[in-house]
Amino acid sequence: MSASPVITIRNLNSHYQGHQVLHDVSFQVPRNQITVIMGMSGCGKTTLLRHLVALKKTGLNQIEVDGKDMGKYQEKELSAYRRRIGVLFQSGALFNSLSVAENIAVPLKVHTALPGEIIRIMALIKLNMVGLVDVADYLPSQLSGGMRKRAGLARSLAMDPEILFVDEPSAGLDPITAAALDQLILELKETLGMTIIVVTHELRSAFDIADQMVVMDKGRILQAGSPDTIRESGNERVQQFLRREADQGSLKTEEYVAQLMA
Amino acid sequence: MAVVLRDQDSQKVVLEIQDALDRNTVPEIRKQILKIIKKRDIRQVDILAHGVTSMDTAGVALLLETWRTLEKKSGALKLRGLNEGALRIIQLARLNDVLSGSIVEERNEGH
Repeated sequence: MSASPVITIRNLNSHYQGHQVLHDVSFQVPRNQITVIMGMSGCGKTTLLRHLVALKKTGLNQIEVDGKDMGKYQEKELSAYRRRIGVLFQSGALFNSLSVAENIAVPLKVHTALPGEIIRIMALIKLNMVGLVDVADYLPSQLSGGMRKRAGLARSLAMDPEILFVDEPSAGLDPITAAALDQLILELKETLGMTIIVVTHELRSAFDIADQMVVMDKGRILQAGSPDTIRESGNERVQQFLRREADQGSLKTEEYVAQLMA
Repeated sequence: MAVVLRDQDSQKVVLEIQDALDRNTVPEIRKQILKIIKKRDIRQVDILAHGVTSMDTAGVALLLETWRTLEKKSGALKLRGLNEGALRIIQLARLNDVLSGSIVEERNEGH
């Protein structure tokens, strides 16, 4: 891989309510490229994302950003890192009491000394990028699910982030809007040189935008590499995912009965 | 200083912007530009942008605001020497049509 890594993940383990959800996850996020993390529901993608955006505490020597250990971040470094990143959550995570444009303006008001006139223009530029400039003064409750998702993306772009994290961008969107969003993600990489990490299980979108792919299953990385490497993977589980084949039941009959009786 | 006054007569000013035109520098640069263009007789502002090393959407917003302020008084904005990166951000902001009349083709090669 030619691009230098912005983020290096090394043997990351993570637990949730006593269960281990990530097992020795290791890969690198190359600069100015799009990395797509994919896998079936519950494979640990979102937990991994929460570590990467510093919403879940990470231990020492597990995630490095530009060579600095995220596990050693103090409040100042954490705040500086959050100003470098943009995050689109699955839900869009908008403030219901603010208009769509005001939602986009929030990070700019909090983190910059920009005057209101410039902030308003920047918010409208971001809304125009996602095709929502017409509803700038609507409340989030007046938008459809897909529109809220796009408004969330506009907000994640408010600060022109260096690194953009996007959780399930296509979920709940019609195919045309989803394709437009993929196109925007590619444009952001090309135009602004953003490093973009997309979490998705939408195969078509993933192969359309990815420079690098990471396929996860049950909290582990099955394979990482270029889209061609993944497409030609000899790993049966990767191929099963690409063929969209259902599992044949994860528990053996006797284990299933034992669980029912427990 | 991020903005340098290069030339001025009663109706026209030539300003040079250097270094970054981004969310960190725009507040100060804007103050200086607005102070000049709000003078009653100013009708044309030329911005020399050859020395702009990077620009983000805060920079685009400032250019748009400057363009609009001048347009309201039947004035004109000329942008000279915008680099490829800046032109691409204007395009990404879907403002190339709006600002195309202002952009003077004498690009520098920087990003």
